[in-house]
Amino acid sequence: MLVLVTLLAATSAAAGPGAPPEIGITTDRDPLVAGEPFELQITIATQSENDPVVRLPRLGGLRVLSQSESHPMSFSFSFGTGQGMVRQSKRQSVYSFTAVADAPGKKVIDPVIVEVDGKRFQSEPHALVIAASASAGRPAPSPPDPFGQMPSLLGQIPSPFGPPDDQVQPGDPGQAPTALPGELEGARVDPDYFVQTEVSKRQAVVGEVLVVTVYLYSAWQIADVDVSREPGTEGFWVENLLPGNRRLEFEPVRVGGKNYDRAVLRKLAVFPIRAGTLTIAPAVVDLEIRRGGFFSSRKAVKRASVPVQIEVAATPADKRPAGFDPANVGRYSFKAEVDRTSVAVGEPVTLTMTVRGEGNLRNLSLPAVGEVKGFKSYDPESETEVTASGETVTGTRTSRTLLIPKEPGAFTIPRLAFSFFDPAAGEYRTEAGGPFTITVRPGAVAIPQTASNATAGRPAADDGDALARLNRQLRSISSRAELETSATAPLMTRPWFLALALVAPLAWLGVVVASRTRRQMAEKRVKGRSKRAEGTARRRLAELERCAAELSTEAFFAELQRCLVGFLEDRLEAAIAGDTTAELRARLAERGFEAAYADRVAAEIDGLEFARFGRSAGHGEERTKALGRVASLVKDLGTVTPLPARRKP
Amino acid sequence: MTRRLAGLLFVLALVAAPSAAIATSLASLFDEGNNAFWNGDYEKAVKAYDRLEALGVRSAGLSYNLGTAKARLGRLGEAVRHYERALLLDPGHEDARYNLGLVREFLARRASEAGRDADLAPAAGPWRAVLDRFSPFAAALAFLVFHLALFGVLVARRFVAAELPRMTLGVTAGVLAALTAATLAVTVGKWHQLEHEREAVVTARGQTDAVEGPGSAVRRFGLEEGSRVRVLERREGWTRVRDDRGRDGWARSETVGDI
Repeated sequence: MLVLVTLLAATSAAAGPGAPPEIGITTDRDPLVAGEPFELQITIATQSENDPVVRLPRLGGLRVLSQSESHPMSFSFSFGTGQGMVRQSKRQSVYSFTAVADAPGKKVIDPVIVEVDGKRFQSEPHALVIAASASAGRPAPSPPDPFGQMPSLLGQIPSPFGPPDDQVQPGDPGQAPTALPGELEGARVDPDYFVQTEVSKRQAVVGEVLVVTVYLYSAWQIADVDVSREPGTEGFWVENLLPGNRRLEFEPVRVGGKNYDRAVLRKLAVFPIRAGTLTIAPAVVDLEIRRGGFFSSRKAVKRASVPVQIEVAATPADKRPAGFDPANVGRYSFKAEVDRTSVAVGEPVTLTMTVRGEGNLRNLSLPAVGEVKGFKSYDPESETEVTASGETVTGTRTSRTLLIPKEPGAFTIPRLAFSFFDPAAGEYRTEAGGPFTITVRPGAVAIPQTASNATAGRPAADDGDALARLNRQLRSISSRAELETSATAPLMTRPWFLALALVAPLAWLGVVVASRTRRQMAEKRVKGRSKRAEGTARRRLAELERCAAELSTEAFFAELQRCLVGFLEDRLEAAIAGDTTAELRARLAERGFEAAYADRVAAEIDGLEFARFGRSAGHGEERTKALGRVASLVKDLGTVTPLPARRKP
Repeated sequence: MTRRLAGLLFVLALVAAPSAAIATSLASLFDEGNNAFWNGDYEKAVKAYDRLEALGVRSAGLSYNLGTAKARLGRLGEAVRHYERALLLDPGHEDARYNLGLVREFLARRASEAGRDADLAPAAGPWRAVLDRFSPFAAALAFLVFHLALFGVLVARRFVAAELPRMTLGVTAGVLAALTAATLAVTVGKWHQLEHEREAVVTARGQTDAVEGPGSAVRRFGLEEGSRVRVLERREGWTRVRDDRGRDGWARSETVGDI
C-alpha cells in the first residue's frame, strides 16, 4: 500500500503548557485520481489521562462514502513515588474515511481541532491534489446500490454504496457540525427544515460581484429536493457558480444548538446593474421528507427563504476617469498588443486587447479603437471566457480589431487606456497599452472597399453592448413547466368537449318534448271523456227509466243523483262529489258555466237529495218528472264547453 | 371478482407505465435545457427545448424558456415568436409579457436608429384585446361550465311549480344565458385564432423583403424583425403574409415563424 504520510505540526491556539497532540493525515494511494475512491486516515495521538475532544474537518470537495473510528492504542504508566509520582497516558484515535473526488484539482481539508485538558490545538489546513482520471470527461460510473430502494432500516445511517443518483446524499453523521447562531439572516429558522439565502455583502457598488448562496437545512432525511422558484435577481446580472447536474452534498451544522444537515442548492455570482435598494427575492423549495424507520413515510413540504435587501451605491464621482463605463467594476489587468509592426499595404494588422481578472467580464466595455490614420478599421470581434466556480467569476475578455493599411508610411495607433473601479481597494484604476507605431511598406494587395464581408453575420459592437444590456434586463427562465403532449389539441376541438356541449341542450330538449307529449296525451284523454259524458249519461238515464219500477224510491233517486254527478265530473274533469252547494256553484262559474246553469244544477242535486229520503216523493209521476229534468239538464250542460281548469299551486 | 380486479389493475398499469416514462423523459429533457442555460450554453439549451417542441409539447413555460434562450443568443425575432406563443397558450404569463415588451422595444429602437419606421406592437383592437385576455383552455372551460349550468337550470325550472322559485330560476337562466353567449363568442374566437388565423412573426435578422410573388425580385415592402404578420398562403418555400397595415407580400418561409 502506498502511503503518503503528512505529519502536521500542531499549533497551540490557546496559551499555556502541555504536549501538543500528534496529528497525521494519510491516504492509501498516490497520486489520487478523480472518480476513484480512496481511503483517508486521520490519526491523533495525545498524551493525557483525559479523552481528547476532536473536531474533525470538513473534507471540502470530497464525497464521503463511509467512515469509521477506532482507538488502537491507549495505555498509561507512572514513574516516581509519592508526591513526586508522575502519571503518563498515551491515546491514539484513528478516523478512516472512504472518499472520492468528483473532479480534479486541489482539495483543501480544514484544520483538525483537538482539545486536551482544556487546551485547544489546531493543525494546518491540508491540501490534496487530485489528478484527472484517464477517462476524464466521462462521469465515473457509480457502483450499484443494493440498498437504494430499501426503506432505511437504520434511520440516519447512510447506505454504504451511496445513494442513487436521483436522491440526495445524507449528511455524514460522524462529521463534527459547524456551529451557527440561532438567528440566520435570509432565513426563517424552522426546527425541521428551512431555506436560507445568504449574500456575501449587504452593501455594494454597481457592478461589484456578490455571491448569493441558497442553503437547505434539514433535520430529517430528504428523499427529493426541487427548487420550484429560483431566487429573484431583478436588477442583477447573474452568473451561476455551480454545475447544473450535480449531487447535493450535505454537511452537519448546528443552528442555535440544534443539529441540521445543510446543502447548497444554488450559488450565484450577482452583479448589481443599478444603484438603489435591490432585493434578492425568496427562493422556494419543494421537499419530500422521509420519516421513520422500516415503515418510513414520505411527506411533501414547501419552504421559502426570506428576501434579502442590498444597498447598492453608484461608483464614487470623485476621481472618476473620463469616459469611465459603469460596467467596468472588478479587479482586472489589461494588455494591448499588435501582431506585427511592419506590413505591406493591404496586409492586415490585428490589434488585440485582453482584460483578465475577476468581475462581470461579459459586460466589460473595452477601449474603442476608432479611426486610425492610414488604416481602414473594422468592427472589433469580442470573445469572453468565463470561469464561474467556487466563490467568484474570473476569466478573460478579448477584443480583436482588424486594421488594413491603406498607404505606405509610418502610422501610430494611439494609446489605449482601460479604466475600472476596484471595489476592494475602493478606487479607480487605469491601465494602458500602446501607442503602437506601424511601418507600412508599399504593396500590391487589393484593399477591400467595404467592410460588409468582414462584418456579415455578426452584430456591430454597439449592437452587442445594447444586446448585453437587453439580456441583463430580461427575466430568466422558468425551472418548471407543464409538459404534457396531450395539450396539443385545444380543449374546444376535443371530441368529448363537443359531445358534452351537445348533451346539455339535447337533454333539455328531451325533457321539454316529453313534458309536452305527456300533457297533450292527458288533454286528449280528458277531452274524450268530456265528449263521451253526455252519451254515458243518456244511457244511464234510459237504463234507470226502464228499471224504475223495480227500484225503491231511495235507490232510484240515489242512482239518478249519481248519474247527474257523474256527468258533471266527466264534463268538469274533476271530482265534485264532496263539494258543498257553494263550492259547486263556484266551480261551475270558474269553468265558464252561466249562473242559471249553476242554479239549476244546485237545485236539482238538492231536490234529488230531498227525494231520496222524503216519504212523499216516491210516486211514479214524480220519478218521471225527475228523470225528465235531469235529462234536460244533461242536454243543456252538454252544449257548454268548459274553460280549462286553473292549475293549482 | 378478485381475479377481475387484478386484471383491471394490470391493464391500468400497462396503460399508465408508458405515459409516466414519457413524462419523466420530457421532464429530464426540460431540465437538460435549463441546466445548459444556467451554464451559459444557450445553443445546447435551445436544442433541448427544440426537441421537446418536436415531440409535440405545447407549453407556455417551454416557449418562454425557448424565447429567453434565443434572446441570449441574439436571435430576437425568434425570441419574439416564442414569447408570443407562450402568451397565446397562457395570456397570464407575466414573465413572457415582460420579456416580449423589452425585446420588441429593443428591436423597434434598433430599427429606428437604422432609419426605418417600425411599429412592432401595433395597438390591438377591442375584440383582439378581449381574446388576448383568455387562454383557449380557460375560455372553453368557462363556456362549458356556464353552458351546462344554463341547461341544468332550465331543466330544473320545468319541474318547479311554485312562482317564486320559478322566477328565481328564470332570472338565473337569463344571466347564465348571457355568460354562455359571451364565453361561446370568446371560445369560437380563440378557436379561429388557433386554427385559421395562422399568425407568424418575422424572424429574419434586421429587415427582410416582402416581394410580389414567389421568387420575384420586385420588392413591395420591408418586414421588420419581430413584427407580427398574418399567414395567408404558402407555396414552395415562400409564404404570403399580410402586415398590420394590410399590405400583402411574399416572404421566404424561413424568415417567418408560426406563432
